[in-house]
Amino acid sequence: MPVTLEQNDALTCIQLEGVIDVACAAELKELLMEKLQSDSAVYVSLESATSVDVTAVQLLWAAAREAQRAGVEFGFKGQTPEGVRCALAAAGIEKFPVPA
Amino acid sequence: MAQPKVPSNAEQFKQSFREEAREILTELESALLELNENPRDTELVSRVFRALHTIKGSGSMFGFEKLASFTHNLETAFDEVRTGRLEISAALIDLTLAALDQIRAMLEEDAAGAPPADPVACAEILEQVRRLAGIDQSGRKEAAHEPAADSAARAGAEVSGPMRDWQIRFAPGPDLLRCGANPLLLLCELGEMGALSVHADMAAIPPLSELDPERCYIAWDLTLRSAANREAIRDVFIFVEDTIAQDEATCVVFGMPKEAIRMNGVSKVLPLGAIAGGILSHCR
Repeated sequence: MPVTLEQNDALTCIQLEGVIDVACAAELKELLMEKLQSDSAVYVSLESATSVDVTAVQLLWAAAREAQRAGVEFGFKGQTPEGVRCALAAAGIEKFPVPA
Repeated sequence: MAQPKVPSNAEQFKQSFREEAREILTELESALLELNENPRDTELVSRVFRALHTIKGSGSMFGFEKLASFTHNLETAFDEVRTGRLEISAALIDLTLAALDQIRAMLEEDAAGAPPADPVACAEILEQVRRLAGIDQSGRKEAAHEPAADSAARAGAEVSGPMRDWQIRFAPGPDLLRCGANPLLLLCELGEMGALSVHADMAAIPPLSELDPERCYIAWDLTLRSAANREAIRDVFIFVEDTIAQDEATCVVFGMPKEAIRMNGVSKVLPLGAIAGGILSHCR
């Protein structure tokens, strides 16, 4: 999966790059679960993502909800690219990536 | 990090689509040659239209976007013939036969060593087909030639008159993503038929630890304002509705059905004669 990790004691930033789709969904799930189990805050950046499919949306949604439940700081960092934002809006996911 | 890998299931479905499309193209070629001899044969026109529609729709679902977009224009032209707004001509048949060669090339483009489709030839074919059938650049019928139709209605859609609001609940099957299909493309296609309002329902997404990453949990509640009729709207979902596979005994080529059954992507396996009833049971 095309991803860059920035990590220190207090914070992990997962920078997703390129096409984030079903091909890397299993790997993304493992990565999110692993980072949410650590004590640090978790942030995801979509700045370098060119497209995000349904599998990624579901995973990030579930991760955000999981973090809420576990009291882990979770959020999104940086600007979501226009193309990704438009695709999400067209799919009726305007509130993404924050679960209600 | 390693490059993303294409899931084997998706690649297998693409390969099955290629095999099935090759068969359809052969059948299409034969139908076109027959049509050249019998230009008023409406059953032949329907065969050609259905074949083009299948190639376009399946191609789009399995990631052959260029192929689907190219075929869309031909499908629109034959929809015009089917609905009596355009006459079959030797020019249209010749153009469609030439287009088949390009579609074959697009189908094999991922294969090592296969020659790509010729972009110049494709552009010339599209230009001439559009001119013959009065289709605009996007593959839609030009409004001047289609006064009864809503200008927002997609090409090829059956249009039944007054504008109305359709409420649609689209809950893809769990295996839709596994076979490489993209539900968002369907929403785009639906959006071409009119004004579409989309709400994603995320309620079924389970806790992260229980989430199957290749399964689709999102459903969509859609409101479509369009003059398109029920059949045209259902056509958009034709490849993702409850999946029926034709059984081996009645298949000429047991390719894609076999693969879909093997991967548990099928809810019913029916002989050819029972498929129409199976489909109708979902429309009541």
